[in-house]
Amino acid sequence: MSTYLAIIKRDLMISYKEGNNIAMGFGFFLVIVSLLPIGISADKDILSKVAPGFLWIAFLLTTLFTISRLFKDDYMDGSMDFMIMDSSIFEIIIICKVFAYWLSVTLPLIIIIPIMSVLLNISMDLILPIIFIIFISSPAFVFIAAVGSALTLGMERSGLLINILILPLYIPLIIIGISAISNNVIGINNYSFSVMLIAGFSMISIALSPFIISLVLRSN
Amino acid sequence: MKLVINNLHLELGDKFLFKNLSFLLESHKPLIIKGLNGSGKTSLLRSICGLLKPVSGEIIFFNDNGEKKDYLHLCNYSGHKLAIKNDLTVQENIRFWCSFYKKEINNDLLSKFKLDNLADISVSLLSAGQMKKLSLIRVFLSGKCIWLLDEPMVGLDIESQLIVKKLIEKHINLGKLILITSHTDLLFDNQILLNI
Repeated sequence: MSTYLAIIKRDLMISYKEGNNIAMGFGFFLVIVSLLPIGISADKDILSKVAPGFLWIAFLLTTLFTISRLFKDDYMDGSMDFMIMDSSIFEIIIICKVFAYWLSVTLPLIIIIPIMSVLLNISMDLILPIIFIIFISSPAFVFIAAVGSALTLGMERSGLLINILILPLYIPLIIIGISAISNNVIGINNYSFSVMLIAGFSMISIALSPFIISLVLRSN
Repeated sequence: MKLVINNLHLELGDKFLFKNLSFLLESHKPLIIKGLNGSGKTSLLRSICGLLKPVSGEIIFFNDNGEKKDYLHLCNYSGHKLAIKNDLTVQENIRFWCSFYKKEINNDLLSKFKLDNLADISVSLLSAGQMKKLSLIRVFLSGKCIWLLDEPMVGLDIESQLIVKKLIEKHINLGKLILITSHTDLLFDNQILLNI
């Protein structure tokens, strides 16, 4: 097995055995989504209009909430040293770690979006477009959040700091994503253009974030 | 092969450790580094591994043909952090590091260190000494030709210390490089002692 596959397999095993991140992710996502009818309105019409955008924000916050330990365990137990020492392509190791996180935490959240959508009275026609737009924006979510996780590696209470550091970077993504979903709700069709922009944003994140993370981790 | 350390100057944050440190690490001549706590032994090892940037000085590796080469991928290091995952079993940890170093899974070392009966047990249930042995196994199975061992005997029982000593001697006899920091007296043939 290659070095890179070994890292993905190990991180998935740890994630499965610990279960913390998966359970916390599910719990956090569920709580935020269930707060919407309480905080805004239980009126079905109002809910169906605001819920798609809200679902997207809830997904983003869940990512930020669960990613703070992405590099911390390897840093604390010394494994990170050997990954830096032994691999000339440390950036690929970083991509593997983020991918393992995406598989273990983000993908299950995407899978439960249809259930959440039904709970929030989102129209059946919108569920697939919402899932698709969240799916293609998820690489940007996790790779940008991973930069925050690396930047706050040696700090206590890093979870809150990640949000402060990283949330502004999501502003373009939030504007494009929410406008795409909202325009779909009111019938304006710029969906495919927004999808392309978000896909571009995700690709740029995948291409640049590993180098930034590598720089930060090596300097630690 | 040899590793030449020239006028190394190390600082850790604002803390001065040493400067103008020069020595030679050669095949068949294990180097034992001694020094007071905080004198910079661990930092020296981390610096050789490329994990700590020296203020000045150079570290040069020459292969068996006397050619200057990159060496970081040839190094393995065992430090205070054990690089083992408490959530995984002994066997899962070993499997991971074997895959990481692209080596065949070798259970002989587990048997030698009497960890074979604990292969399916979570590492969190091991004693400190057993964890240390597992961490050393990671270095021994890596197949790297430069071993940098930071206090390898700490926490080990006498029997395990003898096994580690034999494995180190085997590495030395193969003409590979080894640098050890230790507060205890280790006796190897042709060893060179350096106090920092």
